[in-house]
Amino acid sequence: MFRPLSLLPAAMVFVLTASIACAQTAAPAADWIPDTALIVLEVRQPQTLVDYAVDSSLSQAMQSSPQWQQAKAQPNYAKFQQGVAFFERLLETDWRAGITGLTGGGVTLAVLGEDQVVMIADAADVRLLNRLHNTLSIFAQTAAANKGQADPMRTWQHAGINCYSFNATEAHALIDNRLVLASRAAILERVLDLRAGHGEGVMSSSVGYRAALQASSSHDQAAAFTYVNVAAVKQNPTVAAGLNQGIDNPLAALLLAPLADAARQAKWLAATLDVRDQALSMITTTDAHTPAANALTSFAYPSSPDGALANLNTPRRLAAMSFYRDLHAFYAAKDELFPQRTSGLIFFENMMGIFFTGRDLTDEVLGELEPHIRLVVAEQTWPNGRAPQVKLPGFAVVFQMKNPDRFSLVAEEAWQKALGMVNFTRGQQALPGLLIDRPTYAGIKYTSAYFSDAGATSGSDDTRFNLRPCIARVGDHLILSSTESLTCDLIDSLKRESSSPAKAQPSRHSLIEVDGAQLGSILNANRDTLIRKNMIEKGNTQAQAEGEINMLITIVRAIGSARVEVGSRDNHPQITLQLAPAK
Amino acid sequence: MPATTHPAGDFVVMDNPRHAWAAYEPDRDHPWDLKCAAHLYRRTAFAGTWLQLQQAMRDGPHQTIDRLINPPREQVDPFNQQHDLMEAAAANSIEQLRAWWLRRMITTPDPLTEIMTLFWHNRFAVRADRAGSGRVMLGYLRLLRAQAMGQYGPMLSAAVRDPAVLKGYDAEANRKAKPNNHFARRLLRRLGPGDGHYTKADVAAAARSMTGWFALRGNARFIEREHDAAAGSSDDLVRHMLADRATAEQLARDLYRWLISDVDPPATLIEPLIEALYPGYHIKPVVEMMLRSNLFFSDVAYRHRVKSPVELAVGLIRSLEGLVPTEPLGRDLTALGHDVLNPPTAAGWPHGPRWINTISLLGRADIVGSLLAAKGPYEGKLDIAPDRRDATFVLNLLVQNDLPDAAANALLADAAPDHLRQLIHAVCCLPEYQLA
Repeated sequence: MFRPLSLLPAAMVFVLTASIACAQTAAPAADWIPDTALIVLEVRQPQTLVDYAVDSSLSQAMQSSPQWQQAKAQPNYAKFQQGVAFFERLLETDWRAGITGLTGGGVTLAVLGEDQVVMIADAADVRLLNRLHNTLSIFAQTAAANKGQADPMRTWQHAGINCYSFNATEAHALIDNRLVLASRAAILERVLDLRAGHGEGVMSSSVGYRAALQASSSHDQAAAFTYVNVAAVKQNPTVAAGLNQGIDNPLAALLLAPLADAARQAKWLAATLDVRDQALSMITTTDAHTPAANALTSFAYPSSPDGALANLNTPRRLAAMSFYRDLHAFYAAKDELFPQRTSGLIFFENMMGIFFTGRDLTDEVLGELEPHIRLVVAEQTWPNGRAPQVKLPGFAVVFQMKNPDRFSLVAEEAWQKALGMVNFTRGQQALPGLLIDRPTYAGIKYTSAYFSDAGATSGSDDTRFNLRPCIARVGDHLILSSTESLTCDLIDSLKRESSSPAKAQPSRHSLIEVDGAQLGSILNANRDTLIRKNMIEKGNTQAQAEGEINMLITIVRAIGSARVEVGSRDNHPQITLQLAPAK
Repeated sequence: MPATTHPAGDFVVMDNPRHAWAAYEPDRDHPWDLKCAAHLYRRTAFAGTWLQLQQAMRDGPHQTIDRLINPPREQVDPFNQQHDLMEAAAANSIEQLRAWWLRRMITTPDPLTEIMTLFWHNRFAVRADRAGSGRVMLGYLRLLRAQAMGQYGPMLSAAVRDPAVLKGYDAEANRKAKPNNHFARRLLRRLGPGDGHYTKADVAAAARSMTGWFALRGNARFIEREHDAAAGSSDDLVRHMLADRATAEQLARDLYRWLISDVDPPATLIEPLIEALYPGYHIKPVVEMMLRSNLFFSDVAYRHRVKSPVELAVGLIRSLEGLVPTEPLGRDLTALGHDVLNPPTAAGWPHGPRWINTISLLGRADIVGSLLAAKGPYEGKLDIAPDRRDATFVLNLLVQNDLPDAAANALLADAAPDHLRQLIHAVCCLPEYQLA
């Protein structure tokens, strides 16, 4: 047990006698970090991130949840609060001001290797930093004395600086307003050598780091900046093997090949993190180059000003994705992209051969499609049908056709063949089949298929009512949707586009948007199912499961909206992530 | 099998059936103690918690068996009501249904009914992957549970017309023009008098009795025009099966193997059970007779059944009063050969020593290790209660000091209070713990 009052005289003596390095102007932290570091994280505005972590709507939502309140009622939380309050009294500040005082000048964290980490924090309040250091030193001494042990703190000098260590996994030094904290004494000494101008190269002179800073210069007001020495990370055999392995799954390759290609090329990666008006944005870029027009992955890189189209808007939209993918070029390169013909690929080709009988899949099917592909996922409604117990969202893909009059009929025929095959297979399993209908909506005649609910008994095997697959043509667009309600919403949306065409996002090949409130809504609609699943997946009681699912729904709703753009800038791959708070 | 000695001693004379099936009355030579209580709970509740064992020792055998056979309805009914709803909602997935059944075994206040449901499921041996849907399988399990301690006749009558049984026995279409002899033979062999007690003509007649029954879209339907009216009905078939005393004998032998011992009994010992069963086939009185008997508390039964993987895992979880994720548990038990919804053969699962071989012993050790691991699929949820962190307590709870002194002392010497999970794992890997 600590006895704070009895420690005060000793603390005062320690403060007076503590040897703190003589004052001098601190160089940038990157001047003290070896250029061999794998990752460097510079938190330039710690206060901004602390404010976001504590005050954001997401944080507020979590703090107001019953689960958070329950956690606060636990004895451990009370102990933690007492500890924080104790330090607040001792340091004569509240914890938020304390963090600002201790890190206000910025914090830099560098990972040099496994278990080799160094943190450099620039305090805004040097007296506070010294007081904290002295207090912790006295606590350690007192705790050891109470156990009849020697003073655990080792003190030594290196490169003219007093160094301290409480144990083998910690070493630190105070230099003016700067705290250097390392995971080993040798790392601390390495940093101090760099400070003194001895030894190896420093990060601030590293070509990659400087290029990364330059690439992020338009965001130099960002709250945090991260540099990853990708070339060094790739020395790890596991990482190298993962990158060289390639992507066997064609669908994954279609979506992720550009990113995998960038990862293989990159020597460094830079990311900036910013917070504005409670909205968080992160921009990541690398030194990789966008591929040449004849490269294998060029199918995903639009020529400016082309790019992925703006996402489609529909009611109850959970997520929308827009891609620029030249399917014809992708499939024409399949032998090089997938030299090993997997069973999945063979099955796909067999099926396509049946559905598109007598046509060359590459030229006469995929070649009929523009590279603009859009997907929508939306919560569905069941105005006329039976609502299933497990409510799945509807999903749809919208293609743009080059010759809509001709190809829409080809697609319709293939779709009906596929439906026939589904019905035949289900019939073999004595399962109900789909009935085909040709309704009209907003002047558009489309084809839908549905399961009749006549004779369906009440029970839980009603998941099939989540599906009402449709195919529809709107102008030069082809809609393939899992539900009728989403088909009608997309018809509305595409009709609106006919008067105001969707704009391409120049140099962007992927555009993903997620709506947290709507995601929360569908989670809530399936709350009972999720609770039941949680109980058998995690072994929770019903009350525990309800708590976890409620918390999940709260968090998802509070996330607001997320938007990811993937493309290139100045011929380098770039990913932008934006999180906007819930309104 | 290791030599374990029951305190009640070898007081049953196998060739004295009357004494064997007489009610056990504790006395100075055959006292009612922790070993007796734990033995009773292993056979009727997978395993007992420490509180249950202590309560049993205070209450004695009569009151404890009363409580196990007739658990308080005010606990059982709400539990079943809530669990039935959960199971019904999860029945669109076989894997989830399996997980819910395992959870029911772990948490039910009426574990004997679950043990008997498992007994009947082992007997009917319907595979979920043949039944086709979770809803059909759920209906079949509900039928078994409802009649688990009831009467065999009504259960059999309902079962032969259950869609899961019809589909599971390859009998979804019993046409007049083509009676399903395979279905009939399976009924007579497994659920009726058994091999040697029926003829080809009996099979043909039974198959004709079942004509007209179809499993269509997950429901059983009787189509009159497809029924051979001259052959009698399915109820006639069941009456015919039950009228044969050999049916009662086969059922009595199965019950003996399930509740008493893996070792087949002499005919004289089975005879009183047959008498109790025949002709009414009331299950509960027979189960009660077996559980209350001198035989049940004798060396003949004590640790003379090899635990199935389900009994091993569920018993450990119940002993430690834990609740673990049952989806991964279902998968791990399947890997050990005990997919609880898919019996491997028409004769159900292997039993007795056939559960144990070099590979399965390692598998049993693995599943226990996994259940007790601080991380992994079971999320470290199984542990000894904080107020019970004592090595001697662990031995008493799990093996009731059935270990040789040297083994017990070695375990205790290595046991550290902070590493009791390791001790539990070591105990659960012992030969003694593999025996119920």
